[in-house]
Parts: sequence; C-alpha cells; structure tokens
Amino acid sequence: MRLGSHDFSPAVLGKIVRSAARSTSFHVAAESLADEAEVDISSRQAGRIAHEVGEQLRQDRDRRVEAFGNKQASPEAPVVPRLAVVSVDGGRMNTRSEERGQGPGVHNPAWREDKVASLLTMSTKSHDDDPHPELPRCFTKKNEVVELVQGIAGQGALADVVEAGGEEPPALTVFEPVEDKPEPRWQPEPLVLTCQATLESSDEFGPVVAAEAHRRNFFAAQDRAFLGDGGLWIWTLQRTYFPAFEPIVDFVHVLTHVYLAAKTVGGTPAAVWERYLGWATACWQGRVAIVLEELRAILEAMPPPENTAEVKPTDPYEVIRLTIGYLTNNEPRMDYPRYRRAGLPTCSGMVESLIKQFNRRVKGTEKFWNPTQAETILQLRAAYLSEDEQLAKHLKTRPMSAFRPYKTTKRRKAG
Amino acid sequence: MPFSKAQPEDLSNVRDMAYGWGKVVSRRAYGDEGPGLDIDFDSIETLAVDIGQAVIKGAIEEALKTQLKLLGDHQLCPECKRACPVDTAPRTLQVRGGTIEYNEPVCHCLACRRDFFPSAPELAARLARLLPGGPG
Repeated sequence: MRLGSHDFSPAVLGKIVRSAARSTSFHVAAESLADEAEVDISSRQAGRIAHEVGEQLRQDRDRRVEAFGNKQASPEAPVVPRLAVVSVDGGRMNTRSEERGQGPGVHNPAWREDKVASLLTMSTKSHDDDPHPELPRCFTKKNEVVELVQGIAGQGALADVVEAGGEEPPALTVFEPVEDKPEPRWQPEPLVLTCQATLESSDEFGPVVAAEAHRRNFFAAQDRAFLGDGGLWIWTLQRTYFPAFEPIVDFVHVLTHVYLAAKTVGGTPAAVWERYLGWATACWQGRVAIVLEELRAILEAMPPPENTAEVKPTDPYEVIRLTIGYLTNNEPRMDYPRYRRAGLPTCSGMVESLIKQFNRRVKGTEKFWNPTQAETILQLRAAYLSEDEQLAKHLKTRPMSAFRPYKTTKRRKAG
Repeated sequence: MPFSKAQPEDLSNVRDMAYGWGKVVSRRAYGDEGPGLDIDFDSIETLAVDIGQAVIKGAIEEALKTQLKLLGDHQLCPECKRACPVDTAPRTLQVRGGTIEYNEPVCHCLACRRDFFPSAPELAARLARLLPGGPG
C-alpha cells in the first residue's frame, strides 16, 4: 500500500514534503498545509517527515556516489547534451552543537559553508567571430553595476572590502523615453537544471557533483564548461573531477573586483567610473594583462602599510593587492572572447541564484541547524529545486519497509 | 492497486453517477424548491464540500475493505517465510479531502517477534503465481 508509519496517504505525504521543502520554515509549511490543503499537521511532525525523506535522499545520493566511484553507474539521461555547464559556489548557514545533555537552547552556534552545485544543460551555437565584443549595456549602467557589486561583495570573501554605507545612493534621474531595441541573443539558453548541496567538505562534495554529472551524461556532452567565482577549492574540484570541462571564472565577480579597485584608487566619481569602464571592457575583451599592468603600477606608487599584521581588508593597498592576486590567479580562466565564440556561458548567475534559493530555506536569524539535519534539509531542498522531478520520483519509489515497530501497533491497538 | 483490476481508464460513467448524487443531495438538503434566497454561496459550497468528503471517505474505505479480502487468511513473514495469520488494526489516515478509518492488515510473526505489513509487490507476485493469466 506504500503507507508508512505516518498517518497520511502517499498523496498527502507528498504535499507535506513539498511544502516543507518550499516554505521558509516547518511552521510556515504546517500553516499553509492547514489553510490550503486542509491537512492537520504540527510543525514538529512536518519537520520529522521532511528530515526522514531528506535522509532517504542522502542515502540514495551516497549509493550513487559509491556506484560512480566503483565505475558501476551508468548515465540515466538518454540524450547527450549539446552544452553541459557545472557551476559551484558556497553559501552560509548557521549550525549548532548536536551533543546531547546540554539543556535546551542553541549551543555552540557557528557559521558553516554549504556548498551548492548547479548542473545545467544549455542550448547554444558557436560563432566565427566574437558575437558581443562590447561590454554589455547592463555593465555600463552605474545603478545596475553598483547593485551588482553590493550583491556580490556584500557576502563571501569580499564582504569586508565593502564599507557599510560607503556606496553613495544612485541619483534619481528622469530620462527621456527612448525605444529600447532588444539586442540579438547570443548567450546560451538554459534547458534543464538539477542541483546538489552539502555541508560536507569540498573533498566529499567533488564526487557528489561528479556522480550527478555522470548520471546526466554531462561527460559525453559536445561542449562542457565549469563556472566558479574564483575560490581556490572550486578550481581544485574542477581539476580533480572535471578536467575536460572548460574552466571559466564568473565575469560578474571579475567586474566586482575591478570596480572596487577602481573606486579605491580614488578621484572624482566620473574618473572612477571611467577607470572602471576601461578595466571592465579590457577584461571582457580578454585583455586582462593590461589591467594587471596598470594595477601593478598603481600598487608600486602606493606606500605599503607600516604594520602588515594589522592591515584591514579595506586598506587601499590591500584592495589593490588582492585584486592583482585575483586577476593573476584567474587570468587563464578569463579568455572571454574565446568562450563567447564557442557559445559558452561567462556568468554564473544560475548558481548564485540557486544559493539564494537555498538560503531562503536554511538561513535566518532564528535558524540554527544541527549538522545532521542541515544535511537532510539540503538534500530535500536540492531535490525540490531540481527540474527533473527528483522529489516526485523519490516519493513514488522510496524504500518502504514491510516491518514497523512492534510497539507502534501494540500502542495503537491499546489506544 | 497493483494486485487487483487496473484503474478503469474511462470514469465518465461513474462521474455521471456521482454528479447525479450531487443533485439528489441538494434536493435532500434544500427540498425540491431549492435553497432560499437567504442561503449564500458560501453555505452552498460548504455543504457540497462536506458531501464530497463523505463520498471520498466512503469510496476509499469501501475499496480498501474489499481489497483486504484478497489477502487471504495467512501471509508469509518476509524474514522467516512462516505463514502468519492476517489480523487488522484500526488506523485513522489523512487523505486528500478528509480523514478515513482504515482497518489495516497486520500480521505478527511469533518467531521473529515483529509485525509486518503485506506489501503490494509481494502480493502481486503471489497473485501472479496463483492466477495463470496474471493480475488483471
């Protein structure tokens, strides 16, 4: 009958699981289930069911990874993708100690990095010439660039570089209405997205992403790309598991570094903007060496901080030094004109957006996960967000035991 | 229901019948003259949903009761393969559109000291062995 120990029909159980994966909390899930589906369930029970299914998904994933490691797995996708794109990034979530006997409340809270991978098939075509040699308009509009930089630099490694309130609000301007001609599309178009997530280390995440890529037949794709924001662990993962994928550093992160450096050098707002436009265009056109040359000259002219041990990330010398380091390390992965000609993506917006979707479920001032439950909720969210109906398939085929605890039945008979 | 008849594909006759029941229910509830002008849409809808839920409850409970008979008196323990008597245990289940009472088949294996619940694939295999034509 595929009835588990919870007193819900399989269809109602599916609603509970999906609601728990979709909502911002189990409490919200229980409320919406009561209101929209007339299902009477407590938030605690919704949580128990969600973690139970998440644990099953984790076990499924581990089995797939093991089979992949033993070379016993075969791709499930019958179609060979034209373009397979893997993007990896990290988010942040609050965890707490799992040790028992510490009394109620949150103990040893700590931020930990959840790692997320987006595996996306795309339709694309290659070009004889660079289809878009000019810097896209969205990167030349000050308001949009400031917003982008604040979005990227407000989190992760660049968080300390942006001074709170340091960015002047964009001035309100009334524009004459102009006809906005749509630019011809040259970027690859997304098709099917699946995702993987974990709280484990990048060493353990690598095989997980590779197993999923193998399941989706990514290694046989005609073109393959691997996008990241420049983090060292990401490129280690790429070299280890995806050596045949073209490594590409996300252009928006490059733009963020370049913008912050241009601002740090100083001058009038117009001079800063001109400097940014020049450097961003050079990077877009694959002339990173020129930007590096200018930045090195600027750094040489700057007095180094006296006490290097106490140097702040916002120190101008440090900002320029970090930008030089970032561009130097990633220069081989910034050949954007070639990527555009090959029909490859140059921005990792998909995984950045995915991180936000994960954060919506797992991150919040009141959310402190113990590591085991963090892992199961990440599995559930990943299955829910994947576009190949992973969660629906799992709910239909999930393992059901013929046995149930003896005392459960005895209790039911007695009561 | 994998071990009995497949789900009938064309349910239009049954649907027509249920539609007719709806009309009957309306006449019973409001009389031949229908609801008075003081009865608003919300009240009519609430009554209809309530009746619909009763139909869901009746349909599922009846189907499960009939299905239970197919299990026979004994089932083999999945662990030790001993034949164990089939008993039932009452259970309240939340289904789409309400709550039903289900007499769930339960077997207890004295040797293994555990309850087990006959699973559909095993029943299908058993039925396939019993019936030459396989389950319809």
